[in-house]
Amino acid sequence: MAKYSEHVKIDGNAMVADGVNNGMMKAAAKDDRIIAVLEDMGFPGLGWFKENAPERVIECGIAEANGAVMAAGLAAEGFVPFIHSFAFAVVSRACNQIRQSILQDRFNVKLLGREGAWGEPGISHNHIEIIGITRVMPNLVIVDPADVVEAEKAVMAIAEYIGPVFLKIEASPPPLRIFTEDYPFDLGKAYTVKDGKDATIIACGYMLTESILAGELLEKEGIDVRIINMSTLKPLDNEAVIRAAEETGAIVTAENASIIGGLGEAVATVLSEYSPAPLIRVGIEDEFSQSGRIMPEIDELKTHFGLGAEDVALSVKECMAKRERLKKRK
Amino acid sequence: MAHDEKLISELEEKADIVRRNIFTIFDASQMGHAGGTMSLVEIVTALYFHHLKIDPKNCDWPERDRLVLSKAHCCEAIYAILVELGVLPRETLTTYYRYGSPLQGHADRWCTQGIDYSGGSLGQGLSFAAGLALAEKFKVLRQPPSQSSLMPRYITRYNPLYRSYCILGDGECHEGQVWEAAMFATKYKLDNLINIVDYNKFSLDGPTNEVMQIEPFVDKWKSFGWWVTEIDGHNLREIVDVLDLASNLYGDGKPKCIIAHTVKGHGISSWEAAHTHIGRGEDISRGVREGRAKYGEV
Amino acid sequence: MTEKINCGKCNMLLYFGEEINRRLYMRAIPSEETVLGFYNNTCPRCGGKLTLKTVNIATEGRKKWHTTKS
Repeated sequence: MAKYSEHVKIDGNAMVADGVNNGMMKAAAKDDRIIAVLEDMGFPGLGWFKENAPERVIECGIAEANGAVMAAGLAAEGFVPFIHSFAFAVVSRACNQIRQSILQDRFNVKLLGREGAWGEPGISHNHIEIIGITRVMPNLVIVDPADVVEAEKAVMAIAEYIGPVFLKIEASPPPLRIFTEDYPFDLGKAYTVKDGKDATIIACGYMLTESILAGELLEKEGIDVRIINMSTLKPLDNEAVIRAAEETGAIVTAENASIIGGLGEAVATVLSEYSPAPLIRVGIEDEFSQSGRIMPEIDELKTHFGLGAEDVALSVKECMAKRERLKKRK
Repeated sequence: MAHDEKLISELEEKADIVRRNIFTIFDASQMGHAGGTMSLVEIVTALYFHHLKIDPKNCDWPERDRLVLSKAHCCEAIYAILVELGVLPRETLTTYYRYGSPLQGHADRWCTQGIDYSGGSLGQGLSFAAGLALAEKFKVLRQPPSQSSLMPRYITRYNPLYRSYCILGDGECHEGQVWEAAMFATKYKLDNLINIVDYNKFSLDGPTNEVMQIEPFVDKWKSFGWWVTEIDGHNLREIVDVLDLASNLYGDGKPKCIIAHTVKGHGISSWEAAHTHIGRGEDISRGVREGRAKYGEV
Repeated sequence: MTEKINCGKCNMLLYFGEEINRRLYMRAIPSEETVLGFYNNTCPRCGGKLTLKTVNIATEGRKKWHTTKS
């Protein structure tokens, strides 16, 4: 068994959405400026809202463009609207609205986007470009929590933070329950799940689960890999990346999204500007997703895209070989 | 409510001053959204100099009336008024479109005092105004009980904390989001929302109804559950009367839409004839010369 | 260029976005103090007092290029 950091205790599986539910209820109970903006896709903690503050539930229907700008209007008057829908609807459908009416004036609107890269709904809903689309927009903070505990803390943290935030909620496969209840979540800060010296896996969202499994596979082969949870994709924790590059010299990024514009590219930018080191980006290549069954024993899309623990472990070994080749050439 | 002749003639004078300021802007920038700005002059003059509850010395007064200019490319008219109200210094008029100017090409809430909405991409203003109107409903709900008990009940019932005004262009109504917002406003009974459509019949590519049919326009708004009326958008008496009427209907649970029939490039014969959307170079100079001859120099 | 403001005591992220002072005539956020004012000059997480001395301000990106004066 690998040696993990003190706030890590791996214990079964749990849905990220449950953590968001809990966090939303706690945040809404604490701050009465929080308003639930629904787009016909339910809302985390809706039961709490209906029971305790039914007037704070605003239903926009399937009109995401109007929902986003209307929320900006609420935020302009000092309220804190949370918009919840599928990621493709809440962000991509209302992309221009978010850019002009929310980000240009830096209104305090929180976007909660469900559904990650894989799941039964298929190509339209499995929105793999979402990080690339949002990462280029100024003023936006992007968070992709890795497990149920982190999701709860992330929702409470973004409610405290004043400014626009996009929170990605992985809806389909339940990730491992990774962190303990006293896990110190910090916006814009990476967390080292496991220390190591041979190579580093930087992961976000669901792929932290696969990275931890990969770490255990590599442990058996005698490779001591460092695992970093980069849950805030923007602003990226440059320090953690640079330190990892200097101390381990081989980096693999893992994300269940397009490798273009995602975590991999963000890390690549930091590496090439501050501390060049070999890098392999594990993610979905430049292609669309599709439907696939997700069950505990078989996850068809994970196999299709090559995002399993074995694939991450293989990439770590490849990256280490790359590092050796580079050393020889010098 | 009948208004006396004095007010109307005062407003007409103000409208001429606003036009002169607009000519100063166009003359300096040699470019501008001439047609839409000129069709808007009387409407914004009536709003700013008579109707809106605003304090030029305190643009961020929480109880001011909000004006969302959804057709933000016609911000020249608003800039001309803000200068006249003393919100912006007069020198800024000649800096429109320039680097470092508080007068940005499209209205920007962060840059310019007295602007409530950053626009540019069309069709979003009505949603924003609906959000502001909804926020007013929330704020009234949350007023501390001590305050409302001091105030007679009819005051809070017939006077909102503030009203939310939106100015839409006619070509903008091709946008689907306008109708999303229209549905939303009806659903939440936003009777503090007053939408004014500057119906100047022309968009950039040609007549609005040929580019994409928006008629029957009044019936459209009616079927969405709005209170609708039509006015002549260049008749100050009609504008002032209808604004008062729409405000006094507060409490009926319906958002209000005022369709103002206007003329693109109103007052300047060459702009009227060409239905100028964006004027550049000689087109602008010719119009400015004609306008100055007609409405006087600054 | 981006700017980041963190609480000096608990490191909570208070502001992330465009560099303050860079967008000209930025009326809504004229200075870093305005951001701290949003939080009533108290860190919502640790309750520490927020002043320009107790927060960490970091800007990122190229600092100077030929078109920039000063």
